[in-house]
Amino acid sequence: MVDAEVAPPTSREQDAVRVLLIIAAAGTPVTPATATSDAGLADAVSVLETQVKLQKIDFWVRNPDFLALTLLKDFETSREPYLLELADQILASEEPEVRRYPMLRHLFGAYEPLDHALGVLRLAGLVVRRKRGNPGHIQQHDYYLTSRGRAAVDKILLEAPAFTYFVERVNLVAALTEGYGGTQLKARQYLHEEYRDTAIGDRIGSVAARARSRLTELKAEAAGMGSSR
Amino acid sequence: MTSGDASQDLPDRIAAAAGVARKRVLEVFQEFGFPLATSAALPRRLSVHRLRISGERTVEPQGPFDTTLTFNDGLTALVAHNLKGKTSVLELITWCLRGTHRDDLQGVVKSWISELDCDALVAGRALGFRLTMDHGEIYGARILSAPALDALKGVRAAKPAEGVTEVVAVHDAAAYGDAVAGLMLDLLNLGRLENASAQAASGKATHGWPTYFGALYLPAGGDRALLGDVVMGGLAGRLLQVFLDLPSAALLTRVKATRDARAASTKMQSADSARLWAQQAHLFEQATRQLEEAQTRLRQLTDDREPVESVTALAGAVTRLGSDLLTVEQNLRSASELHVTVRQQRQADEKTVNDVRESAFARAFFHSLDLVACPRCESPVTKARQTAERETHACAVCTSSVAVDESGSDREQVEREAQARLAASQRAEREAHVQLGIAARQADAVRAALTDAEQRLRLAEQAAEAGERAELTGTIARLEGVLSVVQPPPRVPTSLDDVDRVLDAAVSLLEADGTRASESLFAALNKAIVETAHRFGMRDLYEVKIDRAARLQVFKVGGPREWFGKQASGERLRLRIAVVVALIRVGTEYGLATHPGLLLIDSPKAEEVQETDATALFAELEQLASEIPGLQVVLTTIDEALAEKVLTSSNIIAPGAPGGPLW
Repeated sequence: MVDAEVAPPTSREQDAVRVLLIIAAAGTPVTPATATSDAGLADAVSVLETQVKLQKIDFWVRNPDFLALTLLKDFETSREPYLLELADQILASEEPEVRRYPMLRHLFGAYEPLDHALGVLRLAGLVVRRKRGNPGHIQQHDYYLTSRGRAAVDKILLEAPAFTYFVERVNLVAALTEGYGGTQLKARQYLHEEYRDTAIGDRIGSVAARARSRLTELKAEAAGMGSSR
Repeated sequence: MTSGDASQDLPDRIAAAAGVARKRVLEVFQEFGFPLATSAALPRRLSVHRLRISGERTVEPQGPFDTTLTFNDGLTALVAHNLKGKTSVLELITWCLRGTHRDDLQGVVKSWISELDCDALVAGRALGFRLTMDHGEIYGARILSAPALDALKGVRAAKPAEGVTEVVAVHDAAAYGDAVAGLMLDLLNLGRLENASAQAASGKATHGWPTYFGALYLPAGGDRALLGDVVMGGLAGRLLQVFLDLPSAALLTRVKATRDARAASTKMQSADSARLWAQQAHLFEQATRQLEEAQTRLRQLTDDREPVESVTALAGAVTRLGSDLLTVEQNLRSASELHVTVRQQRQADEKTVNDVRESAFARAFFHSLDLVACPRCESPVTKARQTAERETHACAVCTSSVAVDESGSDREQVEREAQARLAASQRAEREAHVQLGIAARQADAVRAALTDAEQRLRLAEQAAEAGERAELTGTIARLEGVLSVVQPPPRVPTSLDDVDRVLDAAVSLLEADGTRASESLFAALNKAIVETAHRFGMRDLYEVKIDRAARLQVFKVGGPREWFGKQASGERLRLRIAVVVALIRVGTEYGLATHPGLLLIDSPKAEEVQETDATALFAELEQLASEIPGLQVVLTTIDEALAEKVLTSSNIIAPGAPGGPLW
C-alpha cells in the first residue's frame, strides 16, 4: 500500500513557483491611489494581502478533495449548478490522489512555512513582502508582485507545461476566493470536521471518499428535482 | 271455532273450516275409511243365557261331566267354595264371548273341557258359540245364529230347518278370536278403539273387542282403571266416550289417531330429512374444501416443459459450482485488491513524475533569473556581483563559491527513472486490470452457471412431482363429481297439506261437538254415579266429577278432593259398578247407545271389609239389576248364607251337592 501521506515533499523551487502563481492570480492591482511612498515597491503591480489568505488558498490548491467538498457545501446553499460540475470534475479525476500535498494542522489552521519559497522569490526580485502595522505588533504581511514577477509568471505560463495544472487550479481557487478575507476563508475551511478535528501538528487527512459519496447524493438529489419539474 | 251451524252436515263444516272443497273432505274420509254418519242409538245389549261345559275331570270327582248353567236377566250369583269352578264360569263365558280367554283361566281346567257352548243375545240376535277342544286347545269353533235362544238349545251345528245358521266356522283359537271380535264390534256397533302409539308399526295401536270386554268383566278392585282392564293411552276415556255415545266419539277417536300418527310420521320424516340434509351439507363442505386444497397444490406445481434431468446429478453440479464460485470470487477479490494497490502505486509514481518535472523546471527557471536583492536585508545585488557569479562562480549574494551546476544531467536521470517507474506501474496496473477483468468474467460465468443449475434442479424437482400432479388432477375430477351430486338440497319448510288441514278441522269440530253435548250428559252421569254409590253404602260421598278422560274426582263429606285411584279397593269396585250402572241409566234416559249391560263381577265380597257393606252391595245390585232393563249381573261369591239371605229374588247357582264342584 502506498500512502499518499508519505509522498515526497515538494521542493523549495516547486513551492516558489506555486506561491508566485497564487500571489499573481489572487492579488489585487496596485493603482496610483493605493501606491505607497515605499521605494522598494516602486514597480509593484499587484498585492495579495495577509499571509492567512495566502495559506488558505494554498491549502485548497494543494488539497483537491477539500476544494471539492467546499464546492459541494457552497452548492448546498447556493444551488449554483457550476459548483456541482466543478466538484464533479475534480472528484471524477485522480486529482485527489495524484495532486494532493497534505498540509499540517496548526494553531490557526493549515500552515506550511513558506519562508524558503518566498526567499527564492525575493532573491529574484519577483515578490516583495511588507509588514503592516505598528512595530512590535505585527498584524499581517502583504505580498507585492513586482513587474519582474509578472514577467516570470508570463514566462511560466508560456514555457512550463508541467505547471499547467497548477496555473489552472490557482486561477480557479483565486476566482472562488475573490473578495474573501483570510479569516473568512479559514472559517470556511473549519466547516470540515476532518480539518477541524485533526490534532495540531498532524497532517490533515483525505476527505476524497466522503466528498465522492456526498457528490453522488447531491447529483441524485439534483436529478430528482430536475425530473420533478 | 264456529262449528255450530246445525243446518250444515259434517263434511260441509269440515270443508269450510279447512278451506278445501267438500269433495276433498269426502275423499279424505274415504281414504282413511272414516264413516260419515254418526251412529244413532242402535241396540248394544249383550246378555248371556246358557253355558254348557262338557269334558272329563282329572281331579276328584274324576270322570266325565256335562253341565249346563242357565242365566236370567237381572242378577245371577255363582255360589260355591273356593276351587269349585265359580270363577272358571266367568272365565269360560269370557272365552266364548270375548273370543279369547284371560290369563286367569287355569290351564288344567281348560284341559278338562272338550265342548264349550254358550248362548247369548247380542243386540237382540240369538247367537250360539260352540267350541270344540282337545287338551285345552280349540280345534273347531262355530258361531250359530238363530231366531230365538230356545232354538239353540242342545244344537252344535247349523239347522237350516229351524232357522239355525252358521255364521262363523273356524279351526283354531286365533281365527276364533278374530271372528268373535269382528262379529261383536259389528253387531254392537262399536268402533275400533284407536290411540296413537309409537309402539305399533303403523303408529296406531288398535284396541278391539277384548278391550271393550274389560268394561264388562270388571277387574279386581285393586286395578286402577275406572273402566276397562287396560291402563294405557287414555283408553278408559275412550271407553267412557263410546259408552256414553258422545256424538261422533268413535269418529273423533279415529280421526285424531290418524292425524296424530301422520304428525308423528311427518315429524320423523322431517327429522330424517334434517339429518340427511346435515349429512349432505357436511359432505359438500368437506368436498369443497378438499377440492380447493387440491387446486391450490396443483397451481403450486407449475407446468414443467423442461427436459427431465437427474435431480441427483443436478444437485451435484450445484454443489460443485457453489464451491467453484467461492474460489473465483476469492480470485476476484484478490485481483481487485491487487488492482487497487497497483493503481495507488501508479498514482504515487505519477505524482513523483509531476514533482520531478515541476521541480526540475522550477529549479532551472530560478537559476536562470538574475539575483536582484538579499532576501534577508533586501539590499540590491550589484551588477558587479551578478557578473562575478556568471564569470567566477562567486555567489552574487554572499560571494562564496557556487558549484558549477552539473545537476542538469542528474535531474534528467531522476526524471527518466521516475518516468520509467511510472511506466512500470502503469503496465502493472494495466495487467492488474486485465486480471481483474478475467477474474470478474470468471466469477460471472460461474455465477451464471450456478444460477442455471439451480434453476434446472428446481425444474427437475418439479418434474419429480409430476406423479403428484396426475394424482391431484384425478382427485379434483373426483371431487367435482362428488360436488355435482351432493349439492345440499334446498331446505323446504314442511307445509301442511290439505289432508292434514281436513283432519285438523275434523278433530276441532268433533271435539267441539262432543264438548257441547257432553256437558249435560256428564252432569247427569255424575249425579247417577253418586246416587248409585250411595245405595252401595258410600254414604259420605256427596259429589263426583268424571271427565271425558274417565278421570274420576271423588268428594266426600268433610274431606278433600280425591282421585279414583286413591280410593280403597272396595270403594273402587263400587264406584266402577256405579259408573256402569250410571251409564246405562243415563243412556236409557237420553236414548243413547251405551254399555252393553252385562257385568261379570268376581267375588265382590272379597273387597269388602264390613259385612254390612257386602250386604248393601248385594242387595242393591239385585235391586238395580231388576230395576234397570238391560242390566245383567253375574257375580261369584263364597258366602252362601249371604247370597241366600240377601239375594231373595235372584238366580243362585250352587253345586248340586254341598262342597261339590259347580260343574
